[in-house]
Amino acid sequence: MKRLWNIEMAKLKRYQPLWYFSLFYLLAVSALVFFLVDMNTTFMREAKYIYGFPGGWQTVTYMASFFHLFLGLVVVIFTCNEYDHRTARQHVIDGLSKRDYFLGKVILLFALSVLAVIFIVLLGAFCSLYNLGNLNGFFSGWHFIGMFWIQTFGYLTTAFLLAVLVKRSGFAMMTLLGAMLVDLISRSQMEEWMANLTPFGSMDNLVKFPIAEQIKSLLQNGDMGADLQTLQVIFIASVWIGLFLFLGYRLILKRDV
Amino acid sequence: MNVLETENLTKRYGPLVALSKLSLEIPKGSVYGFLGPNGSGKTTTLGIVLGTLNATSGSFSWFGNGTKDSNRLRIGALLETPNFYPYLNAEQNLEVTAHIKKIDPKSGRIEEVLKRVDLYDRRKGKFKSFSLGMKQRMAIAGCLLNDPEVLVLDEPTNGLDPQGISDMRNLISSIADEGKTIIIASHILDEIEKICTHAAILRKGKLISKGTLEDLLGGGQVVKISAPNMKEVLAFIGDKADWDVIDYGKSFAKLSLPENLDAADLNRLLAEQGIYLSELVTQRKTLENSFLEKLKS
Repeated sequence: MKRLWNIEMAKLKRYQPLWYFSLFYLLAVSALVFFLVDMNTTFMREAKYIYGFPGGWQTVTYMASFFHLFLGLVVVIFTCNEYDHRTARQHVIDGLSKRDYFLGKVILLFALSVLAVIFIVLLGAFCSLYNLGNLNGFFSGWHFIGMFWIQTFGYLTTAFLLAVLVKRSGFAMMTLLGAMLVDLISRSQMEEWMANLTPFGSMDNLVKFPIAEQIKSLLQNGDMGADLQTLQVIFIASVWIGLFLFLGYRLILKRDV
Repeated sequence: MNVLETENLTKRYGPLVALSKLSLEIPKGSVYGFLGPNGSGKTTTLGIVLGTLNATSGSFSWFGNGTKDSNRLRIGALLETPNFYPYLNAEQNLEVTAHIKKIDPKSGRIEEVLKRVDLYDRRKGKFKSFSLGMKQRMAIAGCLLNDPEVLVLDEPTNGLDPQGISDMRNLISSIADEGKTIIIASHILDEIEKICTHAAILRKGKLISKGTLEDLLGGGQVVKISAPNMKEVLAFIGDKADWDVIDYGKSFAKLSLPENLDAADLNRLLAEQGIYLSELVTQRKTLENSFLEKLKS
């Protein structure tokens, strides 16, 4: 485990494109959240739910969920880096088993998703402090954070599978973007229960629009469609994540490098 | 003891058979050459035993230890082109290799191997700024990092200039002198002949011949002779079934003699016929001759 981490760090810590894309993610998410904070000063002063906890967690995670594509690109960059330079092959020749090669990448996916979560928690705390001047209820509603983590890890896993499949970084980036678009468009044509089952559809269900519940309770008689229970949502997304990881592993194991 | 054994190793790409039922043994301490034209299956063989290609069928075993991934930690290998991260410098690249090979990067070993391949002065230079010769030497440095028992080199002098080729050969010879087993693939016969103790000849994925270099070269001497009247000489030689004329011209003939005959015998036999040679040069039999013979048959 330590060895795999050391291997990944030795090759990535000086790889600039990786840091540029990560920085871009941080800036983009921050910008959107600051925009929201700014709105507070104008006309949303009373909407305490979206700044205070637990609702604040839902707000920041929902905002951040728009930027998973950038995190996905970070994954494409560090995965394809080794195919572009044919070093993946050299690493196997040097004695890295294909299994360890795969595990090293999973460790990175995990680390990246955890870093994103930590960043989001800090942003949420900042929002609450700035708008409400306190951190009341900071430890409530952490299931939003948990769901956000699964969603992030799911997007990263999808990006990883596509990167392994396609190998070339530019092509893999386009494939990721294309896959997200195709998923989005086909969902708009589907029955809701089907749309809940697609890879990106199921992951998007994990983090909901902040005041969706309030709207729903307002429209008691309104038909909100086939809304799923939290556990169902988690189950469907986890099946995709598990499947993508398994396919990535099989691909690496069976394919010549 | 054998360092590597393969049994009926086969690799297919659809209808194309890149390697067909290759069985061989590579003894410890040998310098083993894989010989063959491009596309004969040399790199495919090395790819399979080094874990990058999955064999279609057949098996191999390193150190009598099967196909375990950890075997490769005892091997240093350069397959085709040197592969490193262009944005890292020599030291940083070897740091990655060190972690893979379970060596402490701070143990001083990286400096040692960089000195060994004469890249120490350029240790802070980015890999992308290196010339081909330097990249090749860098790859050798990576191979030597774990002080391997076996060194596998695929076309190590490919694309190098004469100075680079000479440096590379000296490096390989000095490594062989340490008693390490070296497996080397090349289509340059001369290269194999200069450094190998054993060789396997491949063509179109099939093993044509294998053994020690002496076996492959066969016994007997090659001589080049000249005489004032070459017609007489050729007529005399033409009667001898087991004398092989490799080449001849107006003023010379090149013969491969049977094992029981040496240059002195030849000189005596011709003199007895009243033919006096103006020139008699013995040459070492070259791998090129026997290689071409083997490919023909």
